[in-house]
Amino acid sequence: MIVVGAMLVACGGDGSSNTEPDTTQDSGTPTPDSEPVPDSEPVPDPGPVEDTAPPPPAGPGAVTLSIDHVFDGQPLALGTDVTAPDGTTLQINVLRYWISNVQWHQADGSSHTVPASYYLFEQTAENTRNSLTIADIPAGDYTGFTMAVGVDKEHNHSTDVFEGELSTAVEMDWGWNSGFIFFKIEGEYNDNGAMTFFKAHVGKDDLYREVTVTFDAPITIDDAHQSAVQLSAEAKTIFNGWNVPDAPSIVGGPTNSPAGNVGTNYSQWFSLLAATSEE
Amino acid sequence: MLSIGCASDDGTANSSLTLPMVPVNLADAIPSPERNPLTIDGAALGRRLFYDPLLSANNEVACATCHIQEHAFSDGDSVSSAGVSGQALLRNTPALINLAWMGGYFWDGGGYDLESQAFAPIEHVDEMAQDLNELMDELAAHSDYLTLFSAAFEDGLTLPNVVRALAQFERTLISANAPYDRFVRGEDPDALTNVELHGLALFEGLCGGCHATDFFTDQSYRNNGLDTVYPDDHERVAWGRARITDDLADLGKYKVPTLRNIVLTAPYMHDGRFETLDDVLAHYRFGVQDTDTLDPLLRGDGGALGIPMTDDEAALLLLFLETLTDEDFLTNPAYSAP
Repeated sequence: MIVVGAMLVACGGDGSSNTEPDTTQDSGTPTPDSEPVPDSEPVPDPGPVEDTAPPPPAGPGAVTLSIDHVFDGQPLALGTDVTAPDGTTLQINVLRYWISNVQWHQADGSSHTVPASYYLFEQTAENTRNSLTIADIPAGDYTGFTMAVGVDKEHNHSTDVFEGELSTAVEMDWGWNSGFIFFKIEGEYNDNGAMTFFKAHVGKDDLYREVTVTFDAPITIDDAHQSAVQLSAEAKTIFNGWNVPDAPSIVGGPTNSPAGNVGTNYSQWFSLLAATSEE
Repeated sequence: MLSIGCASDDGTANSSLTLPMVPVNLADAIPSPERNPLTIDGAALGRRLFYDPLLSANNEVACATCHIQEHAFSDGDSVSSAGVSGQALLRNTPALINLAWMGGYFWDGGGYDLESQAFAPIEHVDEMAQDLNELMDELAAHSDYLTLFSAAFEDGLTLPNVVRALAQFERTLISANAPYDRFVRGEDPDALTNVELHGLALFEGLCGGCHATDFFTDQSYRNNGLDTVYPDDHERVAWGRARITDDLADLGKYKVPTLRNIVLTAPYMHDGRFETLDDVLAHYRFGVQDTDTLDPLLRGDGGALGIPMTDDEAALLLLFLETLTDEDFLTNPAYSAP
């Protein structure tokens, strides 16, 4: 059963419980950390429900975040001709970017910040990684989330500090300007019949971009639900304002105007496909 | 073992016998980031790594290939071609002197701290060209390194600890025992001759605005009028500091270098364009070019460019600069190949 929205009325009474994982488990759902539910303490029941048993608070849950890479709405196929907004024919061979600082938002305005959330998403000939499961999210009904493309300035310069998946061993860092490459796209474009290499390696603090996604209806995340958020990332958007034949090699930050455009584009290439919660 | 023999009689210096004492005219102690405190084992490991060509792709290029002690850890080339590819670099190899107190490494300050900086030459295709995963495999397979890393760091051999060890060794590269230092610390009133003292007085007036303090740099980024155009090629390397800050007001600016051991670090400027110190002084006297971001200190009253001085004054300045040569630094066995 797909459940979208808040139907667990029994859990809705305590908006402050989302700052820490709730250790009290549903007695009907054994979990490794389950603790006995004190029977002398009835859980407040805010609404009319048919089930008269006191509904215990749910434990923290997990959510899977996936990002479908597409071009012109079709699944992105590496090494295949596509057409940029300005008509340039090109092929994408490498797509890599850091997703960081994920925060899950509840209807009451409170948020859960995922610690050390630095993830490398990529689609290359060697590897595709476009989803991840985030655990230990406090039980609750979530209206949306915020993530960033790039690495915040507090973590972007001392590149020997490997927080989350951050590392200098994955070819997503710069030496000349100590820091991480936020977004990397490489391929070939048709230069009067000759397929010619192009790349954009974009980063620097000013191109760190936060993206907030709001769901159509809240989803429940707790230990009784399989929750998932599916985004689409339209790679055609990345080429807005970037004429590849004019600037086939972009390296750097905002004053390199195509790089600045790419930075704007990767904050706008996502769209929400679905946010679901399955009991 | 790493003592450089500087006098430090006020008791504020590091009391360890095997980490360098800090000369009183520089600082009280060697600063380190909290995540990488300076230890004897860490610095010794860093020294070993600094001299080990295993850090390069072909196992033939070490840090020390281009950072040579008798050149105050520079290399005597305008731009080096000693890297794995044999391709000439685009910038002059900087000397490594008193780095613990510097902020912003490389000529444009793009290296954020000594730890992060060390990844750049190891990875750069025209320097050591090393794949970092391969480096970790080679270090793990080596007969000594697992033990040395375990002695130096709680978590033993890790990639961050490679650059942290290098940074620790670099922080011990302290130069402050030149004749100038012995004079200003009052250890030897005869360390500078009257002529050299005259040169010092001139230096403070003509050069001290940028080459300030006993580090002989104020650590600022300045355009000293070398060029008037800053092309975009080579990923905009000619932009200087602006390439790092993305601020066009920083076009053509480079970090004011220390002048310690300056006689031994020729050729000069970020691209090694000047062979001699005579050439450098000739630039400041006659060669400064007008450009939007030219340093105000090089623009005199009435719009005259550069630093006016007589031939005699230039000769005195050169005599003074020779008093910044620190023989202990250039020969200290604690800094040489282990």
